[in-house]
Amino acid sequence: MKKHILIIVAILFLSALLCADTVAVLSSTKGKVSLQRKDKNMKFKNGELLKNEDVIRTGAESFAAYKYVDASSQVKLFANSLVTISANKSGDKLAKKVKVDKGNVYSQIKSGTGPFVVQTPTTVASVKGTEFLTRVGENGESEFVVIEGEVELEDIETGQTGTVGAGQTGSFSGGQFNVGDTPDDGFSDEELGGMDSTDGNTLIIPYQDKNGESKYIRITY
Amino acid sequence: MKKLLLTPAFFLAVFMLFGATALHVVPKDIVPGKDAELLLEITSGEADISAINIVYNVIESSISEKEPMRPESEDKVYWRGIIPKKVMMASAIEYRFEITLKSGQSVMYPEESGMTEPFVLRPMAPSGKLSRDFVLISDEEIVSADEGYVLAVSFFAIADVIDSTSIKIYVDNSDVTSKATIEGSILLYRETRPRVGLRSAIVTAKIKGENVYSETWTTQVTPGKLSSYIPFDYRGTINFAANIYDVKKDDLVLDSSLFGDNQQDYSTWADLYASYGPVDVETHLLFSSLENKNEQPVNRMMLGVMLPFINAYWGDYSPNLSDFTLRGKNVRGIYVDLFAQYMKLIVSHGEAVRKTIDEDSMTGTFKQESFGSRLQFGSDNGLRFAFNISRHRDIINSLDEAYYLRMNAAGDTTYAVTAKDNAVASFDIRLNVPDQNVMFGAEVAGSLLNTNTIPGILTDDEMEEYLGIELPITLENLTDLFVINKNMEPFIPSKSNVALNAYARMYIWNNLINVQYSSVGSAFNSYGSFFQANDTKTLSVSDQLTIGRFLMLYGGFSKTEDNISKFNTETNIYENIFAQMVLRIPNLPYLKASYFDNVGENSPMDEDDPMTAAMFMPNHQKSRNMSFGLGYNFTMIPYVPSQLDLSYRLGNSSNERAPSLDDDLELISDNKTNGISVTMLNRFSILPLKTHFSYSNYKVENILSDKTQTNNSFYAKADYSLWEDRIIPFVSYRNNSLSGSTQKLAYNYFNAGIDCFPIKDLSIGLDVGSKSFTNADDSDQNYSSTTLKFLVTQRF
Repeated sequence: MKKHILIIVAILFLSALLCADTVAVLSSTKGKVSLQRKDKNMKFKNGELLKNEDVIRTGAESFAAYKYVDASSQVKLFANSLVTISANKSGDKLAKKVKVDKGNVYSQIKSGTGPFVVQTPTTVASVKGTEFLTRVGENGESEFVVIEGEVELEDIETGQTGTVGAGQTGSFSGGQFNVGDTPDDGFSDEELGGMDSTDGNTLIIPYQDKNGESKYIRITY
Repeated sequence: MKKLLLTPAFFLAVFMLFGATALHVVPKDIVPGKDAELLLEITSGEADISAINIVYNVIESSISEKEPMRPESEDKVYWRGIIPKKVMMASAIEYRFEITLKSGQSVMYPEESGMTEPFVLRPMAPSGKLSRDFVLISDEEIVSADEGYVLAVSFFAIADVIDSTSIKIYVDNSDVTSKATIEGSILLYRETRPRVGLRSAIVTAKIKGENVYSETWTTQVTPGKLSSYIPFDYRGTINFAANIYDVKKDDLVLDSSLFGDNQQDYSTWADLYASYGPVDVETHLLFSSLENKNEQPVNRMMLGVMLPFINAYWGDYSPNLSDFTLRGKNVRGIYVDLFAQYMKLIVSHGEAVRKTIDEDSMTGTFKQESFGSRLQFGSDNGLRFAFNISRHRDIINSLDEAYYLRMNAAGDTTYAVTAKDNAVASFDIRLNVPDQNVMFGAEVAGSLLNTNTIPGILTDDEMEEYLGIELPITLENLTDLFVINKNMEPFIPSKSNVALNAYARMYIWNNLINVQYSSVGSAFNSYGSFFQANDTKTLSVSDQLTIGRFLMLYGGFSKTEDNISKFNTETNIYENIFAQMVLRIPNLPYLKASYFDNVGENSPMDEDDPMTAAMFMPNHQKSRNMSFGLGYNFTMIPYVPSQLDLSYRLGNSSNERAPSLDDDLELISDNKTNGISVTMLNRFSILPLKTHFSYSNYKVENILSDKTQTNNSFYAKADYSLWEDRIIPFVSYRNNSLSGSTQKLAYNYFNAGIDCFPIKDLSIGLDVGSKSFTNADDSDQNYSSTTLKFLVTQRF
């Protein structure tokens, strides 16, 4: 019995250590950004090391970006967003999870670098190597705009799934999976400016190819 | 970029200095984070050299530092030294050799003449393997200074195998590991107020004992809206050394020229170099137990401040005004160099010292009041001219009376040595045309010397009586400028007080041509510059030809003739011809060869003069020397990459004399010489072991007496690195033996010690040595000694 208790204590201790692990680095912030760790507001600077369950909140006209420690993915938070980050080592990969409670969040993930999940109040999005935008409204309604690759969506309430491809926007509404091409004006200026660069020196221009599929031209200058 | 600046110093240089020549090949296998070992070979004139330092700086840094070189063996042919790993990072290092001759004069090579560039070391990749598993997370290529500089690097993929204690982070050549955070699989270094400009960073570590390094990341930091941060850079050392000797022979006369160092001494010194924006500061302090006020000073202290328009030094400094007025002599005082685009004013004032020797060979030291000034107009890259003055006046009360006052048999006071006053004025001009790669220059100087100022100045009446004319000035009013009395040499200045130096340097079709002519009058004296051979004129011509980057040829001719005043009954003419070659084809051994020919002859001033003919003894001297060698860095040898240098020398020298002009020359000495030198450095790849062997054999065969003298020198050293270079024990053995028909002498040295680096930038060295001398023909001369040397150095 003692042995079991010791093992349990050891596992808990290790779990606590893992939870306290650095999982990401805050690479950029602009405007009003706050960082909460264990319900306490933290002072931070660019380059702050982020731990499991850290909460990042952006205010109006604000921006934050972080990258996971396996250098596989980066996440950008636009204005008025609230995100909880977590990651755990799974074999030789890092399993990453972004909990988006509200706001617009852009994720860019390299393929073959471990699971990446975005969870909103209503939906779970699983991706393997892609680029997409997550929009969560005040009531938790969620919309996913995929720029590259594919995103697998799952409705938390019904368990229903659906796939959103490049140039498409997908969501669940009233138990229905809705997917369609992203319109040409489907991005706000803030999103276009911030998706590929934090310094705003990138233009993303949407267009439709000869098959009518939505594509994007990215110009970095 | 001028072609001139690229070619001559690209990977080798051969140079000539006052009869000594040397050769250096820039090493190729330089890696960041490791000491760069430099080898300098003195191909002739090694007996004139007392010390050599490497003077180096990181390119784009104005801070220069020095590292001493050490001779490999007693013959001082090969000198080794290092540029420490602390500065050996990604940036290139430029360096010159500061060679100090026994006369005290220091010369820089490659010389700082504006025609040749320093040697340059360009470190290649760090040792080990490039690892792509270091991934830069902070990948913004351009950041504002307001945002701060952040270096965040992930090593997630190798987190399980990396030795996290071996991780080193370098930013702009500085090790910033101690300021960085390493958590889990990420490392972070941050500057909240970064220096504006291009920043470079690299990470090194060990994986299973093997060195790995990241790629080099660069980030451009742009000026922010907040006040920009001006970095305060500093580095230096604090040192303590003790040398303790124990000689096992009570009645031994400890002549330092034979025995070497024998006086116990303790010394501490510190060097600091700092820069803050446009301000550079340099300070050096040295305090030694050998300091004696009646001998040459040992202690040194100096504080220098350099701004964009002024350089100011307080303490010990060696001002360089011009060749004939003030150059290279230590002055303790104030030195100010005020400069604008087309004008420069230098003022130096302080105390210098002059060694005195009386008729009983008792030595002392006169302190001198030293003053020098240079007013220069024009540009270094065009026409410039300058007026220079210097004065050195012995301070009579600076020397203990015991050193210069004597009583003669009659009970009168006499002077064993006298206080002197020396003044020099010169004008120099230089035309530099960088686009044409030509430079012409000349200096003409005149001097005054009073050989004994102790009796004081002559009164006007005495002077008028002495000269027989009425003086328009009052001499007493000139006392502050110069002491004039009957001890002036000569009393009336003439052309014998004049010295002239003219030179032309040009670079044409890969030829660096140097032509120089100098003439020094018989009564010219300058206490502020180094020895000038009086009553001589010298013409020298040299050419350094570089073909591609593989072949360098260097040759020259010089002719020196004395008795230009025609006061002596004979004239000596010395002619010297030399040629050197270095061939270095990539990936093949470098080859070197040299040839020296010296001829000296005298001739009578006037053969028809019976007095001259009676006194004149014809004397002809000749010597010829050749050497061949090769060197190679055998990196392909498994387990023991080795650096080898091999030289073979041969030559002959003879002297012919005749009792009188009418007699035939008779051979009075005829020697043949030959010798071989081998030096090898082995760095074992599977063990942290470094060994060093050198051997030289030099044989002198006297043809006339049929006697041979052989000088053998063997040196071996091994050091073994423990705990990642933190402790390095070493042992060395040296044997110098002189054997032949005249005498059999042997010196044996055995040293054992340890170099420790217990904490960052702290080194502690302990060296225990024994030395024994044996004379096979006279065992009474045998002796042995034990030495203990201790050195602590803290770098920062």
